[in-house]
Amino acid sequence: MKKFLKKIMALGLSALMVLPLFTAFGCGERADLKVYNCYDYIDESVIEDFKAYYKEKTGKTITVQYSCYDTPEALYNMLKMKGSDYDVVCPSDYMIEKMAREGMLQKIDLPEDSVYNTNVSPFIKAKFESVKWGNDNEFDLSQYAVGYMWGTMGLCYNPEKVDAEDMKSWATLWDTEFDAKFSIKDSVRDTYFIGLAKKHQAELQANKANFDTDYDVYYANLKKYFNDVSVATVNDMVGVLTALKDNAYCMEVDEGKDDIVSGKTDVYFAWSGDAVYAMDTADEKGKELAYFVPEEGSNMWFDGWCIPTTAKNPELAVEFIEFLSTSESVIKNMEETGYVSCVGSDEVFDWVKETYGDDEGEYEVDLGYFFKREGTDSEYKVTFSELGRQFSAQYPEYSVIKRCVMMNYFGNEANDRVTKMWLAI
Amino acid sequence: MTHGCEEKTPKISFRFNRGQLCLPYAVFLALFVIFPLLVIVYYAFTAKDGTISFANFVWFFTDMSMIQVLLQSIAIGAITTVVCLLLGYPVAYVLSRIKSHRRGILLLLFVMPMCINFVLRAMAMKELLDMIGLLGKYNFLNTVIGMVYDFLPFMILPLYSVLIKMDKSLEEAAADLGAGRAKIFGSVIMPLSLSGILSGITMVFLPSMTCYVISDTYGNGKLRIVGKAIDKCFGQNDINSASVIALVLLVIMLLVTLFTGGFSKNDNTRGVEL
Repeated sequence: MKKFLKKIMALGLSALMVLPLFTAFGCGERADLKVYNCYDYIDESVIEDFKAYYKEKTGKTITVQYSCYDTPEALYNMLKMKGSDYDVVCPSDYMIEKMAREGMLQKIDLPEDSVYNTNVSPFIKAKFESVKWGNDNEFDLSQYAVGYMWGTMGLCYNPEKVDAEDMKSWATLWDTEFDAKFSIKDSVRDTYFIGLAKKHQAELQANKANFDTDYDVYYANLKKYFNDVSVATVNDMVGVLTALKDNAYCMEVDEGKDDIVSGKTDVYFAWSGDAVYAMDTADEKGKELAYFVPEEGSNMWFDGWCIPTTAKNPELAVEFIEFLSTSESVIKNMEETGYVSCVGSDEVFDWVKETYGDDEGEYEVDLGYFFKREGTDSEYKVTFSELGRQFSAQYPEYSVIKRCVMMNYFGNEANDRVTKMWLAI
Repeated sequence: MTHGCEEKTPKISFRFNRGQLCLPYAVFLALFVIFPLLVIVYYAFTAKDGTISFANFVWFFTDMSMIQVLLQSIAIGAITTVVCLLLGYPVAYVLSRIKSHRRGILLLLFVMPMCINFVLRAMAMKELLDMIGLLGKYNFLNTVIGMVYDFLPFMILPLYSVLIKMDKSLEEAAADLGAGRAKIFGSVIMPLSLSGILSGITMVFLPSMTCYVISDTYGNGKLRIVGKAIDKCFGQNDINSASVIALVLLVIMLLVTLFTGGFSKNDNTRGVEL
């Protein structure tokens, strides 16, 4: 009897230790909607708004579990784990393609009159449809994802210390004059991209001539050079990127924006949204920073909401995506994060005009490429006063857009090659 | 239960034998140490498609960049350990010879940095290195400074706990017999504190080889060490390569522990007695 009791006690104690594990693994009550998003990528009050909206619409009170990841690769690892049951996730373009190819995502088929389809910018829609795969190119990104945010990659710099002329080329970063004055990304795809710009510098320079004469050729070349993952190129990249790293002040994923504001660096290789954040922070400290997309061409990226095949509540996920595409949510999220929404409704344009427009400004930009819908003839011009600043980073003029390409998913074999190369950097 | 008194309610006593006391930890061990270890071994010996393969090992031992990473890590670990020992030994000795009531406070002062949040400490040290102009220029040196800063208490404490237990009369006896200070240290104190030195070495060398949070912070993300390599592989969903690196590292750690006598039957003080 005594022995039995002891055993029970010991078992009980160990069970007590393991118990929290099970609740953590979801044996407890599951939230109605599980959202998995990148860090600092939403105004969290929008989630509360969604709950209230849903209650009003259906009378049902729902619970939302909101969690965050730091890189699309971490999201991928998480979704690969058995038992993961997120309803809606937000990966980047190349990761959406990878996951869709591997059968990890459900198709999202929104009706023509859905909020997203009504509001989304035609420019974004075309971009999502342009990434195709499958034997007959029967798949594309728009079947699996709903656009959320987009942007470019470029150089955020301190005009007092750096000549704006120097920012026109990525090759500047290899210049000994810039030794220890700039930061680069500690993430393989971004840094590999500018490595390609250096490696193909001569070809890209020559390609500029095509810009005016034959744009299709120009763009096809741009795509080719910035998606080059051939064995020879990847091998060369060890030398190219090691030289870049030796010249850089630091390799970062997060500190870069603080470093340029505090003056540790003069140039910050940045995603447009982070550049906006850096410029905002610098403004508060009375320091002016600028943003430029180098002329050889740059990376344009998109993040979108997707529904994994393991989702438990895809209907609610669709409701959530639709709610995020309303102009009110979009404006809230843009104000909070500094990134630019894929939604291009007239309300969003009005907000942009109100935020950045200045009737006495000397510059004018035509954002028709983003906001204008087929069959309408409204004008989307904004007069503004500060060139190369927050506004230009968020909504570049069309000539800048024309030199930006997407960097597609490398494919498993090439990805392996690039990963191994990256270990040597 | 005693014979012949069945009518009495049996007295329940909550005394466990050793095996039962170990059960909760055994469960912990199985879940968080053994199981993950098996997963690592599985991935290390399989290819991407799940078939058994040694290709990962071939890659690790033939790729020059991985060998470089390993050597750089060993260099950082070794230098950090030596510096910690040179700094820590005198401190531990002095502390152990101070009159008892002050000793506690002084020891606390040395251990205090451990109580401050790691991130905060790292950021503060980074700014300090920036102020004196080292940051961004000497990444290797900065990393070693950072490692020493963070792991020094792990050297002092085991040394201190050995030295405090050492009988002072041994030193006096040596002095009475005519030994000089250097001789006393070399023939009496040092050999007697060897177990503390060895456990200090294991506690500093192994973490400083892999702690890439420190090398990233102080080395501006530009230093390649083993922990960072694992992170890079994971960051690209290359779990197989990450597992191989982890497994090789594990073998190195076992060897170091074996070499420093971690598995010997002699009394080995790894704990702390304040």
